[in-house]
Amino acid sequence: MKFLKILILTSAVLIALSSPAMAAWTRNKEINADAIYRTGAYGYNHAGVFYINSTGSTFGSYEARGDGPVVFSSMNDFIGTETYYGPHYRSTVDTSTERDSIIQTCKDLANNSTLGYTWTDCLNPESNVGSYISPDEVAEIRCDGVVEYAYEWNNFWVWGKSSTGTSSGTPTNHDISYINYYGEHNNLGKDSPWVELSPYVQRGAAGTSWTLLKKRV
Amino acid sequence: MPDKSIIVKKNHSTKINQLYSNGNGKEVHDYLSTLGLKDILETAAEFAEEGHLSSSGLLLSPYLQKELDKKPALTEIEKIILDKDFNYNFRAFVLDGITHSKTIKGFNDDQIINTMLSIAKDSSEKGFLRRFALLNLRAPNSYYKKGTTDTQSELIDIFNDKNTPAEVRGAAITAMHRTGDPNFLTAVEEVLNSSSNHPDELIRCAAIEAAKSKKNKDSYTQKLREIANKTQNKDVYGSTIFSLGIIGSSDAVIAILDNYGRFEDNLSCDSALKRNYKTIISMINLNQPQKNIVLAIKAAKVAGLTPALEALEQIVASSQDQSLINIAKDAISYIKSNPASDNYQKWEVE
Repeated sequence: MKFLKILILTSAVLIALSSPAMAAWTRNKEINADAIYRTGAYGYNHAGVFYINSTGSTFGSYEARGDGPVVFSSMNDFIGTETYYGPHYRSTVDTSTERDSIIQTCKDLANNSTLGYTWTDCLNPESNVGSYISPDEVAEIRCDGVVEYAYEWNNFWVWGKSSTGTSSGTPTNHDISYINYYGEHNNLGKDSPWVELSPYVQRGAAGTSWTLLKKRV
Repeated sequence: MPDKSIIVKKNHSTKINQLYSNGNGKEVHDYLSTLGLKDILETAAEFAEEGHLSSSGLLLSPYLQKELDKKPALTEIEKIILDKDFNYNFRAFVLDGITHSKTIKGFNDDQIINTMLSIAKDSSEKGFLRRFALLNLRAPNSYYKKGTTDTQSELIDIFNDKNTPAEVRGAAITAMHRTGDPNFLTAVEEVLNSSSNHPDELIRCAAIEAAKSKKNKDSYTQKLREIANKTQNKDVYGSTIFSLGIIGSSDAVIAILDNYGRFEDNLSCDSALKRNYKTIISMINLNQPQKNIVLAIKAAKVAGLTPALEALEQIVASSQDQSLINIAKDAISYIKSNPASDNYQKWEVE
C-alpha cells in the first residue's frame, strides 16, 4: 500500500513537471506594478501589469483578454504555454506609493465590471466625458491599454505618437487618459512604432525611441 | 461571405503558421496584405476554430479595418454576425470590427444596432456574445429612433429573465444606461433593493451603473454601504467600493472608511478615497462634526492625500482638542512619507 502511494505521488509530480502549462512560475526580477509581456498573437504579444502584495502571498497579472473585462490572473494563466518576456519598468516610478497608485488604477479597471474588450482600439471612453477619462469612464480596453492607461492616468508616460507623424519626430501626446490624445493610441500595428501601438511596440521590441518602458535586467 | 468549406481546411492558418515559424513575421504581413475581405474573414474564422482568435485577433484587426474602409455591403456582414454556424468568437470579432470601423461607424448604424439587439435577445446564443453585443450598444438614444414600445422593452426583458446568465443581465443594465432606456433605474433598484436575491455579477453591474447615474445618491449610498459590509464576495466588495467612490459624497466617503480593507483590499479603498480628495478636505474642518473630522483625517492619511496637508495643518494650528491635533500630526507625517501619485487635477468634480 505504501509503495502504491509513493508510485502515485511520484507519477503526479512527473506529470506536473513534464507539462509546460503546469510548470509553476517562479518570480525572478518583477517588482510591483511592472509591465509584463509574453509572446502571442503572431508577434503582437500580450501585456499585463504585475501585482504582488506586501507579504508576497498574492501575485499575478492584471490583464485584458478577449473573453471579458479586466481580470487579475495567476502568472501561470498569464503566460500559459507562451514565452515570457519578463518585467518592464519606467525609471520615474520610484516609490512604493507610486507603484500602489498604478495598481489602484488596475484595480479600478478590474472593479469596473461593465468594461468591454476590443481588438480594434487600445482604449475607448464612454460618451460625454470631460477633459480626462477616469477609470469609471473607460468603456472598453485592449491588453496594451491596461498598461498604457494604468501608468498614464498616474502621469507616468509610456507611448506617445511622433510629433511629425514620421520616424524623425519625437514622442508626444502620451497621456491616453486625456480626451484629445486617446484617439492617437487607437492605431494598432507594429511596423511604424512612431504612429502605431501594440504590446510589441509598447515593450520596446520595435525600437526603444517610441516607448519609455525598459526591460528590467 | 466566408466559405465554410474553406474554413474547415484551415489553409490560411496553416500558411500563416508556416510563414511565422520561418521568420520574424514580415512574411505573414506580406501574405495578409494580399488578402481581400473574404479571405481575412476566413482566416479569422479559422483562428477561432483553433481557439486562439481572442489573442491573435490583434494580427487580423488592422487588415479587417482596411477592408471595411472599402465599405462592403452591410447586409453581408450582418449575415455573418447572425450565422450561428460560425464560431461565436469569430462573430464577436466581426462585430467588433464593424462597430469600430471609422468608415462605417457601426455604433450608430440602425442595421448594426438591430443586429446587436437580435443577438442580445436570443437565449440560445452564448453568454459571451450576448454580453459583447450589449456592450457595443452604446449610442445615446440609439434604438429610440425607431420609436416603438416594443424596442423599448427589449433590454428590460433581457434583464428580467432570471434564466439569462448574470453577466448578460448586467450588460443589459449598462446598455440601458448608455442608450437612455427609461427602464434603467427600475432595473438598478430591483437589484440594489434585494441584493441577496441576485447573483454577484449582476450586483456588481447594478452598483456601478447606479453610481454612474448620479441619481438618488443618498439612497444608493446606503444600499451600497450594506452590500460592501455584508458581501462574502471580494469582487462584489471591490465593485461596491469603486461605486461608492464614484458617488463621492461625504456619506459615501464614510461608507468606504467603515468598510475599509475587507478582503485585504486596501488599494481599492485608497483609490476610491483619492478621487474624492476635495470631499475629504471639506470634511477636515472644525465646523464639521468631530466624528467626520476624525474619519476624514484617517481617509487623508491612508490615501496619502497631499492636497489635504493644508487642512490638516489648520487643524493642528486651530484645534483645542489635543487628541485631534495628535491624529492630524500623525496623518501629516504619514502623508509626507507616503504621498500618492499626483494626478489630482484629473479627477473632475461633476
